[in-house]
Amino acid sequence: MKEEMIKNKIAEETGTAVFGPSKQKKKFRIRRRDVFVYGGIAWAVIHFLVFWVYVNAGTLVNSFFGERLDGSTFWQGFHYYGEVFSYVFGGKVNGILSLRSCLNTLSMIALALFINLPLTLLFSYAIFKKIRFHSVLRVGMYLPCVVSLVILSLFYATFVSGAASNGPLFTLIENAGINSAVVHDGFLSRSSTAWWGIIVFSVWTGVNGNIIYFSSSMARLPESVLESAELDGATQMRQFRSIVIPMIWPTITTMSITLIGGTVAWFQPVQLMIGINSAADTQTGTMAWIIVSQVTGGQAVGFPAAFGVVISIVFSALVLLFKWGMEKVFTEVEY
Amino acid sequence: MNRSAMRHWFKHRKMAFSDRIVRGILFIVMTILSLTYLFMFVWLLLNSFRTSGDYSLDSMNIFDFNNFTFDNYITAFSERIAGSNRNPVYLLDTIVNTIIVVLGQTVLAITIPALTGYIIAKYRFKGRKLLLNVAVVSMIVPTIGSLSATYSLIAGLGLLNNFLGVFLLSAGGFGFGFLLFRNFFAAIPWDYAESAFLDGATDMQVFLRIMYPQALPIIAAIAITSFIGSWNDYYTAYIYLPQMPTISLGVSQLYSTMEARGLLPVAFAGMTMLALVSLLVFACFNKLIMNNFSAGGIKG
Repeated sequence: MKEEMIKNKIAEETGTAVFGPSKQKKKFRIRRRDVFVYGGIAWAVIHFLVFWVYVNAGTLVNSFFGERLDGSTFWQGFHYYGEVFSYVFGGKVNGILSLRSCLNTLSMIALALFINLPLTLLFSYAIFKKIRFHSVLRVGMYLPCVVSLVILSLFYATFVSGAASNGPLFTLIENAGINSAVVHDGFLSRSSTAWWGIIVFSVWTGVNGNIIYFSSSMARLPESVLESAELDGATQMRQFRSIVIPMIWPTITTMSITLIGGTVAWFQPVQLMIGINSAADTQTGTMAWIIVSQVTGGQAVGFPAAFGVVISIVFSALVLLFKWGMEKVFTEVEY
Repeated sequence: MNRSAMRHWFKHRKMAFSDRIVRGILFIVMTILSLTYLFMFVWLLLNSFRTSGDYSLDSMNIFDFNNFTFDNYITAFSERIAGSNRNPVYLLDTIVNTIIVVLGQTVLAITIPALTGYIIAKYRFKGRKLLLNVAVVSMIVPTIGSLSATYSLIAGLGLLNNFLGVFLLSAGGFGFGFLLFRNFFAAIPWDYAESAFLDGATDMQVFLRIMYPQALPIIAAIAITSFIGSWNDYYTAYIYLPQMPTISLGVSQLYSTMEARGLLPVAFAGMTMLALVSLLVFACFNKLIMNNFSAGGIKG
């Protein structure tokens, strides 16, 4: 009996043959399985259709309409796309709406990919290779991922604030007898230093975000590969470059894509540290902040939609290009 | 070389000079970074027990406890930080709001993506590849681009300043959690399920009684990281719950108010409380978080 059931099971899985009396039973089971499979994914698909397909299509449609004071909309054609391009390429400036905000976002992406990510990989490798106090350092390095960006941002803003807020950095430097105008006024209040101050903040809080994922990917590597490399005399850095990085490349690719997506949407720390009133003067706006400030200010159609469409198209293309390039560098290794 | 000889060799091998230099540099950099994070907590905690006057005199003299006080915590809880005179919002309200959001989002994070990940990892059906691509596409296109339409949709449904709106947004089946679950379930052998099917179990029973319990370590890790993420989340509340702020948004509003009044230690008290919960959760479960993401791995 059991044997027959196993045969039926195999047949059902492979779809190659049907054994005698349980033909109906098989059909019933397959139907029941379909209900489970399609029913199980139904919600996820509906959610995707509403909160991805519909909202992206809605953004595209909204980008062609303007909004009157009474909330009614009217056709504007490509007017808002023209506006977007005049801000991005035409030198037009209105508050944080400027080319500078776009360049800020791009510089953040470059920082995340070319400074923070390599440093995270090195730190993860150091933990994987069990440097001194590696367990303590793993926890210590992960701390910024545990606390809210609000705390990190406000602490940093307080720390580098100048004499007016009795900032700790100012106090320390003053106690040391050094007198500097930058420290006196605070790093984040001058247009010449504000963005640099934010870059330092981004490195300080961004070099550890993916340590947990990278070190666990490294822990999955077959020991024998690294042992034989070591027996062959490869240094640890050589193993890192020639074995570890290529073998965890798919993880690096995935995390890089999430990094790009996260950085495009990045605005909260700047908003918390600088505030909307000073953002234009200090030239610290970002693309996401432009959209968020307009949307929460009550403007959902027209410019923010057109800007959103441009961002979606440009960065999706960038991510796809990046993914394609990454997949060309190393082929995926199964282990 | 036999196994014990190899182990002896690995234990007593001499590290290359260049490796020692790199390890030394990394150790120093990581130690300094970790100390700066630790300093941040200590500085906030100790300053939250100082008077605003003492803080203004010297913000770095954190061990000056001549005027040690709990008043900053009392003020943080008693000051209105948002809302109107008729409907004031206090720090305690933001904590209650946060607990509701955290519970809802954590439950959603370990259920819907788990089922989607399981089905896509274990079943062959029409449209499976398309759904895998959907998961990838949803990660590629930046969500900020469609914020205006998402905001309009939530507002149109009357779900602004409503927890249901936040839960709806978080109830997706694809995304990062989906990838973790899919990779985890793909690595689990199908043998137990086969035996259960032979004993007459349904697909749902197999999922709930056999496969899902096996994913308990990764479920716990995702639940805890989701808990911490929701507790700390500022963005969602800022956009969709501005009149029902969660603690992150509430503390940022408290900071603005107190900075204007020259009472920053009160804001530090709020910040300490915000940090305390996630740090406590992390302290209790850090091994679980650190050890269990390896089971899932992350591959696109």
